[in-house]
Amino acid sequence: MEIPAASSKPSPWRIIAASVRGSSHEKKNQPCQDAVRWQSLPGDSWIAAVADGAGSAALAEAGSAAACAASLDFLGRRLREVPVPATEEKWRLLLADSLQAARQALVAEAAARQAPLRDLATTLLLLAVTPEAVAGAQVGDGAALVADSSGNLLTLTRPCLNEYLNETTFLTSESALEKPQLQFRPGQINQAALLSDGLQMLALKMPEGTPHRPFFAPLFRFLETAGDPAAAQDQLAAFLRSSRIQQRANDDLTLLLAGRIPSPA
Amino acid sequence: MAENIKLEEAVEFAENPEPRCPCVLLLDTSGSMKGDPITALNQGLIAFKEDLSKDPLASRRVELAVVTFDNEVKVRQDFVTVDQFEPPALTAQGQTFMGGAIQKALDLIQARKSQYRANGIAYYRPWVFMITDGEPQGEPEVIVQQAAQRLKSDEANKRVAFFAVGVENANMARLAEIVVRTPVKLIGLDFIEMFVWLSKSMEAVAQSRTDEQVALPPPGWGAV
Repeated sequence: MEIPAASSKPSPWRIIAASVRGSSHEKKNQPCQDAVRWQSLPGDSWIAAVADGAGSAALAEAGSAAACAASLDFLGRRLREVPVPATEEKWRLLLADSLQAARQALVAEAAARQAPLRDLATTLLLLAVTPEAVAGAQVGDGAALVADSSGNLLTLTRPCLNEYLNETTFLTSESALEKPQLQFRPGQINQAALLSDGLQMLALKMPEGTPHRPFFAPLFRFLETAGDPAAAQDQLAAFLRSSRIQQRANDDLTLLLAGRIPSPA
Repeated sequence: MAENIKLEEAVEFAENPEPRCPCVLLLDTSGSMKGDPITALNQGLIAFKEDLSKDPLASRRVELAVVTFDNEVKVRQDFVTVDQFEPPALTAQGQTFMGGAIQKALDLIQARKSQYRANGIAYYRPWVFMITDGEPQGEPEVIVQQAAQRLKSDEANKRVAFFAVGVENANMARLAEIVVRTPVKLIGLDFIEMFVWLSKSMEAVAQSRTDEQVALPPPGWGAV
């Protein structure tokens, strides 16, 4: 797990994330194969990525880390250097290019390690939040949820609906970039959550993929009232490791929570 | 400022039905299985239940059905979770109606999937695990051909993962013509080892994801 230090720049956003190893991975002595990263951008914007390396892939943790890093580097650079996309179409192109950048990073990583590309199999979720809109992209399982200013929590990108639960699309698949989910919603959002597939069955009503509100409401309240972000992150990780969760989910678990904190003024 | 929220108490979980992982055991009970082979097979089934019961997630998710074939194709056990699975005491007699048995296994799976879908239950790709010591016998050849054809199409469309295991004098070449995945030859009558391996594989399937192919640990009980 790699979590960047919180920015010292005042931002209306509070973002915390935790990624913990699943009990089945502990049993098999596998590392945590999820990765999560985010970065703040000028103008109260931010971007985040969650990737879930395939349990069956030999270098899954390298794949998920590389996919997160490459997609965020690319997306962050583009959002800093050129005007923020003004239309849905342009957002979709930018997100598709970011997924492409992540895939290319996996191809390069596989070549450098002289390993087959499938050894780096990972899913990838990307979220970009600006004061005017939110845009998300997803290949494979997991979900991104956003709440508008009136608190309506909606699923932005959802678990892919393959017939079988254990067969998802990975960024390394031939067809991964043929039809990724690319979603755009105009308007300001106040909250967002990204989760890897280990939490899907607990946080979402399946197979529709709609949010289970009693799961998210306490988490967002916790985020809002949390003091020190580092301590809050530890508490979030402890929650993900708690027996209540571990009894029901044995995969790696990643959760990123973001909330716009009302300014004290 | 900190409203002290205990996440472990405050967060409520969505109530989704437990996902299911269906597995059909398709077992040859023809006359040639009489004696040691059928005894070893019965012991293997008991070991299978014992091993699978030890994994809490697999015991909630894996559903087993048993179909036997000799001169008759019989559903000995329709899909149940491991706790309700009573290993049958099988006896051996008659010929080897393998074609009809394959059709029956694929029918059972198709019906089970419809039930899952109707109830909003997520599921894993179903497995059929066929064990035989011979080759199709006593059935019209066209029935065997139709079964092989359907199996090819079901594998190609990912409807099922069908594994065949040959015991003792099984006709491995003939088996390879009928099934898609390379059949495995059981070493001796080590059914216990084989079923423990199957149990471990089901546990792995029931708690992870794979990319396209079902990834299996290499069997220590057989040879390709």
